[in-house]
Amino acid sequence: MVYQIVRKEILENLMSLRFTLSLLLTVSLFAASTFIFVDNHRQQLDDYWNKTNENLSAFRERSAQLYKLAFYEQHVYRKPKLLALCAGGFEQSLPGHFTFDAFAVDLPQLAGQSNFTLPRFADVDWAFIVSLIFSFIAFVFAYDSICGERERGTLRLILAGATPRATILLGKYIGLILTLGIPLLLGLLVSLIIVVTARVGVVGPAIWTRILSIVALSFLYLSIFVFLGLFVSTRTARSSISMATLLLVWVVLIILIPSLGRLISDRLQRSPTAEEFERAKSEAIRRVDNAVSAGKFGKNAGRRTSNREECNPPARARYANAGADAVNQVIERHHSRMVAQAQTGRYFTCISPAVVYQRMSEAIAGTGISRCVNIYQQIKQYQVQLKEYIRDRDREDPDSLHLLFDEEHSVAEWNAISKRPVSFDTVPKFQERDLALGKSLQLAIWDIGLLALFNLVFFAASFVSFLRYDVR
Amino acid sequence: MIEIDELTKRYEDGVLALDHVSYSVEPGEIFCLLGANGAGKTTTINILLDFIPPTSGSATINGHDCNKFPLEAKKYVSYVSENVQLYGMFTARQNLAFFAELAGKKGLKKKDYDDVMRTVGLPERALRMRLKHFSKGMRQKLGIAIALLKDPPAILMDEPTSGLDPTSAQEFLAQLRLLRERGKAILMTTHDIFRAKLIADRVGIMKQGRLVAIRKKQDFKHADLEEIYMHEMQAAETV
Repeated sequence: MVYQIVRKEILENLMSLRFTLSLLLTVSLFAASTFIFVDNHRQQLDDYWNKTNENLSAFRERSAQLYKLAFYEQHVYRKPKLLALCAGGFEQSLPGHFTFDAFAVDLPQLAGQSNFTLPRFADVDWAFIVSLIFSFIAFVFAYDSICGERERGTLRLILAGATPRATILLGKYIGLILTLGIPLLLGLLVSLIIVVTARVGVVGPAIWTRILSIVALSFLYLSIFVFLGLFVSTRTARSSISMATLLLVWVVLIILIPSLGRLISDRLQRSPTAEEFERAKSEAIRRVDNAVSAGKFGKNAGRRTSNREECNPPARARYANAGADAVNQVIERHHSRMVAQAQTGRYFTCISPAVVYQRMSEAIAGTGISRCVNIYQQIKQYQVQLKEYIRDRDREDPDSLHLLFDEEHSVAEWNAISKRPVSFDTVPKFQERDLALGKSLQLAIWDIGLLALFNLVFFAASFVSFLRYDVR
Repeated sequence: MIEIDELTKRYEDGVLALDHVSYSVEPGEIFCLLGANGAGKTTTINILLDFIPPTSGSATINGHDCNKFPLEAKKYVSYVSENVQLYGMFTARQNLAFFAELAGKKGLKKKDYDDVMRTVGLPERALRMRLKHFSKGMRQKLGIAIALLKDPPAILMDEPTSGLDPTSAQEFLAQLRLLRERGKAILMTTHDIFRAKLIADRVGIMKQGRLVAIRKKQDFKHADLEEIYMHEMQAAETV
């Protein structure tokens, strides 16, 4: 019986004008967004490689003297990802440029923003099309599933037969999901064909796995809207009221609540302004200077001349490192608050399935805020690795003072770190590591759970409501 | 085949729609329920189809309680509504196939569809027509065709001749006679006393939820059924 209802639903939907319009709209949207993405991605990749190679060349030059490696300000750029096509994760609004040396990591840099709060508008990627357009299409197909049949009188005829209501609901649900699947899969196929033929990147098995995961979870997301549509359809007697109700629900869930994210994060978790940040740094340095005056780092720690005999290099190193540590702590705190500001809005708006789906897609695609945080952490790890390398090489030089501290002039003048050349091949280089799929899924697991919970709630609601639905 | 026993329905707002109504419809019999709007005719159908539960009493089809075992009971019944509304974008054949398959009739062949269309007086070419192009009379006939394809022992009809032109109504009555010949138990609600007289084996007269009288064919065959109806209504008023 389910099969008959599914077939009837699909056939009825396919013959409708709304299906034709949905198909045209979504496939053209997928195609247009992919063309734009491919064009931008190619340009971004060129920029990325140019800048990365420039950075490496400059870094290579510094290997002529070991100490210079420590003080070279490296520039790391976020590599444009092919999977940003699926879920760009507000890539344009997130830090794309990181600078650091062996002692400090600067705050990630953003274009035109002082911190990475959520932007008001997302890029048109797969996640955007699915979360915004397909959720609406799901409502357009589901709004009259029950009340429309009641209005036409066909529901009475179906229920006059020996078909259980649960079977009818299940058939309608499957029919709607499969109907939605046609424009979705067709759109994705068009998008993938454009990407593959444009040869902007290698679509390997790892990327395919992530793409398939996102597609599968897109159905989980759309299923919520189908159940919600069925629920509202079972709660109303007229399809016009059902459509109006669902339109309101859509505006609230897809437009209003996600937009509140920025407002909430700005109010609840505002990160310090640039002035406050500078003030905090000055305060940290002042505290270290006070400690110098109190003789905490040893005699003559505050004194610096080109003649190391007149100074106390170990005390000076302790002082300089204490200063660097203090500033690093301020930067670290500021960075954490920036991340928290961006994430708070999403925590508070996850009653919207669109926010949850967006966050989940980003986690699986390996984009978004998590990726930026991940790069930042990897840079920190790399910094430790670089310092270790410099220390090890420095030990081989008997002329060096073996003092690694953040004061380039003093280090150079006092020969605090070796000035011998090193082989650039042996120098560790920063390489961004993508999270493994398992780790990405782990990041997304709560969101997947939330989507499943939404499904369960709306399934139960529509089921109970339909069992009690007055068909007269 | 259809048994109504002390059936009572009181709605939540206190309205008594059915008041201890009892009767039965036997195989090969057409039982017409007559009554004004709100007399409880459609409520009876709604209870038989499990669209609403009874307050007390029982309704059974082929021995299966319509409230306790509705799916079992509905295996033995077809329903033709006042205004048969099917899927307008589908052809007659697609509509027939859908409802027949829902009723468990699978693997029907073109001949089966042609036969049923001929039986209900629809041209075979109508099978390929979309329902949105059908007149009300044609849709009513297709409703009968759906009932015939299911081939149950009982048929419920709710005001089936309402809005039909005289020719279509006459054709419809011919279909009913055919169904009776095939041994179907038919319960039909109607306002149309004229056609009830022509077709019914028995009539039940309802007023404000009560079954005030049951008359057999021989009681009204040579009498004016409208007069009997008015008389019974007035008598019920007096009581």
